[in-house]
Amino acid sequence: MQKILEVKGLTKRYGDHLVLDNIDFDVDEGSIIGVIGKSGCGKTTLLNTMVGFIKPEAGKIYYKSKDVTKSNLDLRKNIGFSVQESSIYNKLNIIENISYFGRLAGLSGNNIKERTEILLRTFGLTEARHVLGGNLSVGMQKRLDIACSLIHDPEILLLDEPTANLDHVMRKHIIDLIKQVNDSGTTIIISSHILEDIRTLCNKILILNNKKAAAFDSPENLEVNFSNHKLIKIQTELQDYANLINCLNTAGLIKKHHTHEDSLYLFTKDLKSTLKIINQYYSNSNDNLLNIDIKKPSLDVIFEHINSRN
Amino acid sequence: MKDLRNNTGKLFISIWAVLIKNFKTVFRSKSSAFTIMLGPLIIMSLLVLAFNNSSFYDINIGVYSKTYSELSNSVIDKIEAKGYVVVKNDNSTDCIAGVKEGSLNACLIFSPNMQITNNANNTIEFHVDPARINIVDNIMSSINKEILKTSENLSLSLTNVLVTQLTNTKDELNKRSELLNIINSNSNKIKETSGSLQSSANAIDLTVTYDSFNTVALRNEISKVNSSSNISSSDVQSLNTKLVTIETQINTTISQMLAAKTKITELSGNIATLPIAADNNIVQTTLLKDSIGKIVGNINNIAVTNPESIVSPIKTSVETIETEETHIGRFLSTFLVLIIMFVCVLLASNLVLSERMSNAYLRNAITPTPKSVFLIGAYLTSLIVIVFHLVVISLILKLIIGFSLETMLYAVIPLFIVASMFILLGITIGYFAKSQESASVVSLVIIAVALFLSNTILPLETIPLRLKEIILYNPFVVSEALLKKILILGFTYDKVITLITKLFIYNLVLLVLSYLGLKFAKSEIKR
Repeated sequence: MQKILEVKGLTKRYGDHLVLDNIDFDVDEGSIIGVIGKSGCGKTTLLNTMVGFIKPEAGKIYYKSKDVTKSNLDLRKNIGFSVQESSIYNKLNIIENISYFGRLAGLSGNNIKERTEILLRTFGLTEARHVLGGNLSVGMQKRLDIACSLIHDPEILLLDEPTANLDHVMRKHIIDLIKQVNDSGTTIIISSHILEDIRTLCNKILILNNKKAAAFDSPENLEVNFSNHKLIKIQTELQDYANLINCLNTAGLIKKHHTHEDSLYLFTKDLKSTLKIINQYYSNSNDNLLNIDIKKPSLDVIFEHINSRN
Repeated sequence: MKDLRNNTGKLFISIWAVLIKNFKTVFRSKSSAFTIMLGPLIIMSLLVLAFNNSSFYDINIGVYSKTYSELSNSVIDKIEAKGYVVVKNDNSTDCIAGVKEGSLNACLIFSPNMQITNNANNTIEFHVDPARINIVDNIMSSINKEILKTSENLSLSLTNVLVTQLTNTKDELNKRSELLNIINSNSNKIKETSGSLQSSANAIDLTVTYDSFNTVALRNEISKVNSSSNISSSDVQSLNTKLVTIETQINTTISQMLAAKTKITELSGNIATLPIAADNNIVQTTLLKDSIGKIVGNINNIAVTNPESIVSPIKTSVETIETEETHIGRFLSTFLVLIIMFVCVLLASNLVLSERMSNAYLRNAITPTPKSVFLIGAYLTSLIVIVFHLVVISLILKLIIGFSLETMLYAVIPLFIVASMFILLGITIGYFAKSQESASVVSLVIIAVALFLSNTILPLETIPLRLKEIILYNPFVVSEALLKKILILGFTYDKVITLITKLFIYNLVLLVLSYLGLKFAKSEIKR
């Protein structure tokens, strides 16, 4: 599959504050890429940098193998961007909003009319076509926002937290719409903190952590990478896990570990030996083992684990 | 070529889209539509209605005098007749305090018992609040005019008396100088008469000698007669006695004649002094006549004898150079620049900043439309709004004060340059400001500074020279001067080319600044 977008060594800082550090990833044409990470990890900055709204300190962005880091007119003609807060004019109605952005995209009057009708039908906005943007519900505003991003039928659609602040029904509706847009051939890059949406939609996931791209792979591969490990969750009375971790590290049994809400999470390939040492440790310890749980890691757990590395 | 045409077409479509969007976003907000569109028009209508006259209203003038006289009362009557409210105070302190508190616009303290006498101290003290310099100047000038009128009338009547007396004196002297001629002629006559008198007196011969009577011969005859004739001795005796008597009488007469001769000689000597005295008289009267002649000549040489001309040798009359004599006519250029400045700066900065604050800013920024389209859009939106304002203002002025629409049309280019400059200033503020609040504050501060450092609040003449030189570059001052010259004083473009050039340079500088602002401005949306 042809790579429509490539990001290489992208670095961005605000003053002394490093936000993105040497980010690398590429986007296949027609795919859906998910960007996840903790709040403030730089997801929005990454998307803003990709569309050229923010200039990076270092790194390159390639659109169809053409460097568009400095001059990105070609990319801007073929990209749609919907940010978390709907980018619409509250004092313009639905048709006016869509037409306005169509004109800025350089479309002809007929083309705008045609595309507007399609988008109104696709996004279920036909009935409310004369309602002002400011009078729409949050869900309708989001739909209008995505419709505005698609007026010029872009090759790439960037969605920043498209399902944030939406109820379950509306969220599902938006997810369906994104799928529908992708089915028409549009490449989609979506950032979200709702991992379920990302898992459902994306072909590949970029996990941002500590300003870097901690992982970039398909959801399946991410799970497989972690599936030969087992996740052991332990909770004890005193919640002092330092000596236990030392024992396990000395034995070379755990690959990764982290603590979260009174519990210790251990990733291990040798479940049997690890459980044996845990049992031995607590039988000789004055601490009491309250709970022990063993499971295969989900995307949530992988994300949580990656984020807890710091 | 086709691509260029295509791109230009797309550019115009984009600008049109931004314009329509700007108008819709502005006018669909009732408050901003009202503020931007109706606010300035209402203000202008009120200004026209309020200031379309040449009077001052509700001006309170405090007066005080220890003793009011006919003269001070006449001045007060004139001030009242002028339409001012005169408030009589019980003492000077209250009167001055009234000015300080603002209840009185001016306080006039008259000298006690003012009247026209020698050494009279007729002074009127003005106490004013210099902080209200514009109104004070007007009031002072108006009151001074009335006082000057009274003073002039008094001077006129006094001068009239003097001039009349002088004319009468001249006439009297002219009349009386004839008498001196008569005296001279009489003196000459005396001189002549005294000469003839002296000749006559000298001509009187009173020389008589005793021998000329020849009494001896007479006696010899008598003796002969006596010897030849029988004449008694007694007769002879009697004849001799009578002869002795005659001789005695002859001697007496001779003595009398001698005395008379002495008197005549004395008289002749006295008569001889008369011509000298007459000559002296003639010299003196001639001198007197000369003096009178000089006095009359001097009086005649007084070139100005008309009392009015003596009282006011120079008559001043202030003719306004403006065609409009009402306040609105006088301040029209100021009002217009004020409205253009407020509307353009606030609207343009608001348009730009609303766009930058808008959620849609990012989508606008990533469209293939050049950024300059948004600058042009904000510029044209503001320009259309101000053009609308100016058209309506012109109609209001035409309807209410009959201001010529042709004059307004003639000022289209200066108005465009002025509006353009303030729009670009607003756009620059909009791009460099960090928030709506800071944009409003910066706009208002700039407007306030422009106003304070202009002729509008304080006369430029009150400002130190160095600062004044800088102030003359104040865009507000330059714009006001340009519009005044074109709209009020009827100047042609060639006479205001310096001002137009100045404003053109400001436009260029602000265009560069606004472009830099556009280039470096970022969205203020918190992400």
